[in-house]
Amino acid sequence: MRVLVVEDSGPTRELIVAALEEAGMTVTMAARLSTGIKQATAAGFDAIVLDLMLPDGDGLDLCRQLRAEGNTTPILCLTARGDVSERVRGLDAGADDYLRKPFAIAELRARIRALARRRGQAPPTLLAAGSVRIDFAARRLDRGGQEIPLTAREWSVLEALAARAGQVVSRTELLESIWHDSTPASSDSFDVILSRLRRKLGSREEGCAIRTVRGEGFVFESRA
Amino acid sequence: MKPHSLVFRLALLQQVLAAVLIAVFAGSAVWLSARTLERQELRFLSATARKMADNLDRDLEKHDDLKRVALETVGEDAPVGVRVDVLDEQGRLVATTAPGRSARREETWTRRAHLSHGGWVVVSTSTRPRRNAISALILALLLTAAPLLIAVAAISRALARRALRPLSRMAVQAEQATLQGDLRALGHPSDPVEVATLSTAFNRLLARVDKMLNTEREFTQDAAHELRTPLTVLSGELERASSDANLPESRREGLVRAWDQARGISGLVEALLLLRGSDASATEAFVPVNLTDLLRDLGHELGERLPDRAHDLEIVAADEVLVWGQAPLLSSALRNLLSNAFKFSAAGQAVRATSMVENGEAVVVVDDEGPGIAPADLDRIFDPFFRSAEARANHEGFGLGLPILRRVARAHGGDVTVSKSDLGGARFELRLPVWSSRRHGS
Repeated sequence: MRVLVVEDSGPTRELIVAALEEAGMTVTMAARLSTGIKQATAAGFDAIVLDLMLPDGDGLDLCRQLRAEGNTTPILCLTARGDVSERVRGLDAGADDYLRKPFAIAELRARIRALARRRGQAPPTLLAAGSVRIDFAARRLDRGGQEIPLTAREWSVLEALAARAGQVVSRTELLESIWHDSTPASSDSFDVILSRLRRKLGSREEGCAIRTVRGEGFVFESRA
Repeated sequence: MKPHSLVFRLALLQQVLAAVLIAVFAGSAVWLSARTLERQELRFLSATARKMADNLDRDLEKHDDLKRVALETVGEDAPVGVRVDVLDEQGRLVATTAPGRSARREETWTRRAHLSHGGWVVVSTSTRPRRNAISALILALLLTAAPLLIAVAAISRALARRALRPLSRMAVQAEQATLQGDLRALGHPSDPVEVATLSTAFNRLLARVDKMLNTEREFTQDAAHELRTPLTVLSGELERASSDANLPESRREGLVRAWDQARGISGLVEALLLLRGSDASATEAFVPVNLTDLLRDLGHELGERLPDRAHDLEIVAADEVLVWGQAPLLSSALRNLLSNAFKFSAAGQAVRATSMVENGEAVVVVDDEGPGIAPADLDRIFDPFFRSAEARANHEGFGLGLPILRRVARAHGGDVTVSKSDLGGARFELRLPVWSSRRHGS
């Protein structure tokens, strides 16, 4: 797996590079936005890790430029700021995922693997089916006109499933998408999360549902 | 109107001044009139006495019989309202204009003139007309003064209130600024000089306070941002190192402990950002958080960190206890409660963590079988840097965990309280508003 890391802080860059190489990834690095853009367009990568605050510009410019050129390489943004508006700004610019500093190495690796796997299959920004309306950008679920609260983990599972709606997603992949404060979720807590998510989405008739495919995984299905 | 109100005092002062002025004016008017009347009367009496004495003396030149002459003259010459008595050299009454009424009790003014042929002319008049005139004057003054005083009373309060209006306006502005949490300039262009001076001084003070607050806020935010990057490297490298399978177990354990501490610092930095950031940006980052999930994760984490105490922890949790909040902060708040409970209880003593929704509040209760909190310390335990005797004697720490915990709770619209547990030790209760649909649209 080939990964481009664009990060200006030396120690952070070296940490990310070492951590990803240990996980068997081939890493190219850039310390500036301009070199990052050059490398991203020149060579094909499976994923890009992008720091948002770079000395020569806003990291999101790289996102916009790549997307404008039709490049769909998944992009994971790193930021030292962490408010909701920052997340929305990143997703609007075409980033696929968002990680706040300081992050756990295991989580960084898992997110990159998840992004590379669902390449070009980002969840829709807005999904409306029956009485269910899911705004993935603002992370808001409404069912029958009522706002239904989802926790960050429930969103992670829902996003992983919705990105590949109609296809089977394995339990292992879903497990990897949920992180408990930097440790992977245990299988039993995954079951708890899945059952809550199913309850919150309601029945298939209301709009969408998660179906179990015995021995294989789970499928997200929506009406219409 | 309260007696200590400035309006009341000013009005009272004006009323007293007006009353004193009116009293002085009226008093001097009455006194002057009385004196003028008395002088005129006495001058008239003197002139009359002299004139009659001269007439008598002239007549006595012709007939030297005082009694006969006196009786003739007195009857003819006496002016109306004036009593004239003629006395001989021995002081005996010879003639009078008021026969038979010699013993008058009435107060009178008297003037006398000596006759060159021996004897006296005594002229007197009653003071009653003058007293009547003065009484009339006093009555007239009273009739004018009373309505005047009432008018002054009414106007003075309005005047005082009007004069103090710039001050009450400033108070309203200051109150609004407090409510809305921003320091804006006080005063109004139309304010009089004295008030304008005051508001200028206040504004200078406010500007300074505002600047200090902003500097401090910016510093904390910058510091927190600057800390996040090295913390990433610190905890990341510790995580990498501790996952090295070739390391001896004891070395690995040390690295895991160091990694835990690095994550603890990250939690503190996030708490600083939340507590120092402006309210709006802090709550903007709030998302639905399930306290039960946090509690269960912490239970797992504790089980790994303190394997010998894993059996002491009992978690009684409702499936979903949802609040609006920042998961890392709430997680470190709960971690703080649990670690405290374990820190202050011995192996084998139970720690019970309960989560539930009660009366529209999300509640997490942590009970322990430890020594509990001394009643005297219950009020102070959330004060920064306060450490109980028990904590100072047996445990490390800075006394910052609970104050930060309380501030995190309050930043989430709730609070944390401490009491005695039915398990015998301390009971900490975190109460936050339960999740409810709100704003959003962003």
